[in-house]
Amino acid sequence: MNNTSKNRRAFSRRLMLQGMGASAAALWMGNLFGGVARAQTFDVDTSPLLIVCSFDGGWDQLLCLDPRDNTAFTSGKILPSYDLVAGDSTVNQALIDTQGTGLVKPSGSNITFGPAIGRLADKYADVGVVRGINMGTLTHEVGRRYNLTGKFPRGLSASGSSLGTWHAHSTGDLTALPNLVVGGEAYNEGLSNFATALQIRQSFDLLTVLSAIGEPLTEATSSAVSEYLWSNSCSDIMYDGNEAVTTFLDSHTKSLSLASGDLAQHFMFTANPPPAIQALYEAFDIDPSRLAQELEGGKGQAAIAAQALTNGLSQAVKISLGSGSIDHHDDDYQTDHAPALATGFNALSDLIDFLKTALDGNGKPYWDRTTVLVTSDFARTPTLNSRGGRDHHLSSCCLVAGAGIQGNTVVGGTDDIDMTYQGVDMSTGQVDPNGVTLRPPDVHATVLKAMGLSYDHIENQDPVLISALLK
Amino acid sequence: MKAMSSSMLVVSLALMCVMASACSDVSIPIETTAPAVVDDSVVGVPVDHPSLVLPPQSREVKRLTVQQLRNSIPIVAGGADWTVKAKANGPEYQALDERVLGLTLGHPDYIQTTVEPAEPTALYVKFMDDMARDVCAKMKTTDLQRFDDVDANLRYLKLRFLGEKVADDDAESVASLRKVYEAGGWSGACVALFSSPAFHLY
Repeated sequence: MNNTSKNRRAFSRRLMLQGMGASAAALWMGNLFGGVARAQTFDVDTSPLLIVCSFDGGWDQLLCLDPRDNTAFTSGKILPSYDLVAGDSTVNQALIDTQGTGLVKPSGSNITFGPAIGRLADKYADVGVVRGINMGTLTHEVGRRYNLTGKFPRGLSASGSSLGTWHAHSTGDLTALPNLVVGGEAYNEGLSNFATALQIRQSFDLLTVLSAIGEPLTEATSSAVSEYLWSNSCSDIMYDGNEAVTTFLDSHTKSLSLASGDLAQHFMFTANPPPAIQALYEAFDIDPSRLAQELEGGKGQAAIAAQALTNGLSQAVKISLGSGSIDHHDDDYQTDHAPALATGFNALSDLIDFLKTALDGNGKPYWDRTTVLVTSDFARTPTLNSRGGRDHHLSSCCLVAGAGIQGNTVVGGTDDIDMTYQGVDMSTGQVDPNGVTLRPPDVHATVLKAMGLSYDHIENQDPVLISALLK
Repeated sequence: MKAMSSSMLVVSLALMCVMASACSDVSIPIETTAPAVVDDSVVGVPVDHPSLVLPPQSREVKRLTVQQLRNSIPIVAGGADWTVKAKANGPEYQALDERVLGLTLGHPDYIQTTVEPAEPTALYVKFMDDMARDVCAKMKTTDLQRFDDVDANLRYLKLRFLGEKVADDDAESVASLRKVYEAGGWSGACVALFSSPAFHLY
């Protein structure tokens, strides 16, 4: 066995026969399914880019993507009660502008937004809204992981790989960190090692990953250490059953390249930053005097995504826009929920603007090849509970935007009795009693299709493409 | 759907027949024990290892958790611990504390995350490289060389760091580690051992 080779898999007769069988199957399946399973080749200036955003804890759909008229729904099982959250300046202004209905619908828009949508309403031409998604759970971990992978979890455990992981696996090892996750979970079930997410909590973490801490080794020592690590010892072979050693050594190689480059300069978020970072602060309305709070919230996370995508650091980025959990069951719903939503949606609006003006190596806006998915664990009850908050509700919604997505589109809906999900005609997007019940795998498949990627990994979920959302 | 050509069909079927016969219970007897891996080129076999016929590879290998690292490092390093400073002249903090890098390295906060990742990601390995250089620099001044003979000391260190017992006459098993020692001294050897997959995976 070659001691220096990184490909240390034994080539046995069984593996050879398995390979031949797989080749035959691929040949056969390829003819059956055409291009669906076929690998594509991208480079760093053509690869589709993905942004996955979450509002962790369960969002109030009435305030953002599935609103109701606040002046009409004053009794029954749907109570927008926008007045209760009008302490938030965004909601308050929306109520003023809409004569109290709270229904935000810019001129030309087919989409009616809730009063906490903020500046994102003006991006109606870029976004599609999917309503009436059956989340199938009221448990946070389950809903969150269902949205992450597009597969219903096994108990609380995630099933399958995160959307960003699949995206990175499908587009290739093109950037330093193909799959970056800020503040959240990520999963890789059997996909390429390079596609495994680098999970960080905040921008400072990224800075420390991209910088060597402490006294560096001499070049000779570093080289000798690397040679030692790749020496193919007995324990390496024993521990490599699920390729843990291979992953470890690949990660070691990647970590050395990360810390030795000049990528850290793009994340030097300080109170007195260089001009490029100062411009970023202005683009995302980040106040340097309260930098720590700003960077942990939606604005900071959107800024990290912008830097990662436009500086060749990542192809897929997952961020949390909600400034922490928005699981507001109590009267904190009335003070904290709408501001968290509005701040997050404003940050997303700023991110879209940023990507529309930043140009890639081909002189084209990054936005032209960026697709966005925004989700939450599930929705919140359309009525208030006895503590003045809202509990968990099954019928959720999501927002998609960008490359491959038919903007200014609404798909699906919930009823006006208790906001139960409705069947949908996937080709028109209209509510149809005989239509399909929307689920997260349908959304995942549609987003991947919009990016020109396959969705083979969730085929066992029987996803149905939402063709009304596709260009 | 494209029509499959007859020649392609024949090739596909032929290959699938080969696959089927390879996997058939008729042509290959059912193995009652897991297949052993035989590899004569493997180096670094511990002295108390039964033979070069290795047992089946483990399929549930994980990396150390943050808590396991916090407990292990001072024991292996003779009391030295990984610390970081927020400012050049500021106080030192235990790096694996939840308030410093513990959560970043994946320790769950049980609010947003409830599961600690088991994969040795680039972030984990990068911070472990930082840890190795910091702790080894401290060990250089606190830890003593126990044997005059370099190979004897390297054998001792492999046992101490990785739990691998190397025979006294087995120079090959410490050859690559000796190269690190020759390039970077005892600190270099220490970094190599702390960076080894065998230290972090179990």
